[in-house]
Amino acid sequence: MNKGGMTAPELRLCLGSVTEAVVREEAHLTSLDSAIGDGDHGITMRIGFEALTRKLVSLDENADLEQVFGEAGKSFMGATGGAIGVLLGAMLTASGKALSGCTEMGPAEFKRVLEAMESSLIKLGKAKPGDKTILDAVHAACEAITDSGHQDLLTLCSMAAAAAAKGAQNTADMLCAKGRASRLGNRVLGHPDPGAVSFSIVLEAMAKWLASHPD
Amino acid sequence: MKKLINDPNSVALEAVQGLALAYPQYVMQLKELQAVVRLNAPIAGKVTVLTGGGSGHEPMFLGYVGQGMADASVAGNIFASPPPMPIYETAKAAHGGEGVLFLYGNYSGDVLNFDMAADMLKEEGIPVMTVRVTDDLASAPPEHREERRGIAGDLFVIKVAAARAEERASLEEVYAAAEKANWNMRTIGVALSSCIIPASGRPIFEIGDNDLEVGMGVHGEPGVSRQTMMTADKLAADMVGRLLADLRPKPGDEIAVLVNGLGTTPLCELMIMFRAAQPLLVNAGLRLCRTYVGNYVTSLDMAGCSITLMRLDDELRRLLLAPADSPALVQV
Repeated sequence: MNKGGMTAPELRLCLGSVTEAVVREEAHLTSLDSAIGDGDHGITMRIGFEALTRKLVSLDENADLEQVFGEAGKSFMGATGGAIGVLLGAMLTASGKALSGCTEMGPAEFKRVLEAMESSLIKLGKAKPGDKTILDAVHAACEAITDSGHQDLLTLCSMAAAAAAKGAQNTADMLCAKGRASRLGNRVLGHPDPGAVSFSIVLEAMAKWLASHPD
Repeated sequence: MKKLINDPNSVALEAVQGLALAYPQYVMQLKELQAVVRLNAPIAGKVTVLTGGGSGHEPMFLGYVGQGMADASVAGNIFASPPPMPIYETAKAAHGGEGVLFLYGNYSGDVLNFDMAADMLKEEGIPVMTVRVTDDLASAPPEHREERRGIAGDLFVIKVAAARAEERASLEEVYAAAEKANWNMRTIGVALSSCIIPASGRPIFEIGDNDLEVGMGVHGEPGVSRQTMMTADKLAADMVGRLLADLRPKPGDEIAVLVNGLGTTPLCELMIMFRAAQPLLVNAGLRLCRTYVGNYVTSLDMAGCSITLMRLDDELRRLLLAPADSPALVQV
């Protein structure tokens, strides 16, 4: 990767390596979901990212960052369904819109991407931080890099990934917010939210890809 | 895991294809989608009733498409809502010009996907109204009724809404009948075993050989209390007690009852459960208008059952008893 940031072809490769990470974590994510949900989260994530990768392989080679993120979002949403399909699909699409006209995703653009992800998530999912959802990981990642100064993309992405992992782990101590899971009471304690863990896996895989492609 | 499947990732699609092949007199598959529409769809001048949700609950949802029943149904992957595009496409294909009623169980995934599809339809000028079924009394306290999940009660709401649509009622009237059915209905479920999602090949939760869980959701969502195994009489008394405490019917009220199997509980056990529940309901002063016992809304290969009560008025009785002709519900 050059110093300025990630180009569209690099983003495609990077998302391909995110897919590999999601496939590796499928069983782990599914077992997290079995503890407090319906046990299909890992399967859904794998199906979505595999569809996304297939789409990106067939995408026109001149596709820009907005198109890569946009097509990634559309294919993820179309392949999965479920809450995570709409939410992560919309987050990816919003990332593309945040990069409209950009040829590279540098540190400033990466911040914009995370902010766009958070605001699209809040708009659709109507959750608040602390509700034990994927938002807890996304929000933590955003907060960690908002006032981070002038780091390079790898440093920023690593910071965001670490914060997301911590945010996801913190959901283990949260009760499911009001609503249909509230009757589960204390039984959800000790179990992190699978969607939040998934988001941290995505950022961690991006950071690893960046670390292994310094040029 | 022993399952009669091919590729674990195409279970939902192949089940839809099988249904369409088995029941060509009722439905046809819409293109390559995990969706079916009534043979004569779109029916001009009739409100379109569209239902759907995750696969794994067969015969819900696609088995209830037919005359006097839903016009179309869209299936997601196992236990996952369908995405917005197939919902949108199916609604468009089945739309008879009088608007579309979306009917589905209240789960965040279904809400997000169906709402997005509804927005797409409304942008094209097609009116859409939505009823989310919230019958599972174990999933939220009474003061948060609108947040409860939908389980076996989907059947009654589909039946009532579709019968009202068949009477050529307006979209608002069909919506009102469905809402009334949902509001007057409660379900309590109990699981005796877990179930296996084909793609993971493992049980989605653990439950001891001698345990049962009251209030468990149809996707294995933890219930309200785990107890040791008990007789059908005792379990039915526990379940009916919870239903009456939540629905609070008055003596003299007329009700419909659904004793629903979750997938691997034999029909004879469901009959024994109803045998136990019936005198308790009668002793509470209730009049039983119509009873359904069978596997109407399942959870793959889970063992267990649910009991649903719906309080009837003249309109709900008429709509419930109206004729229906679909793969999974035929009544004359």
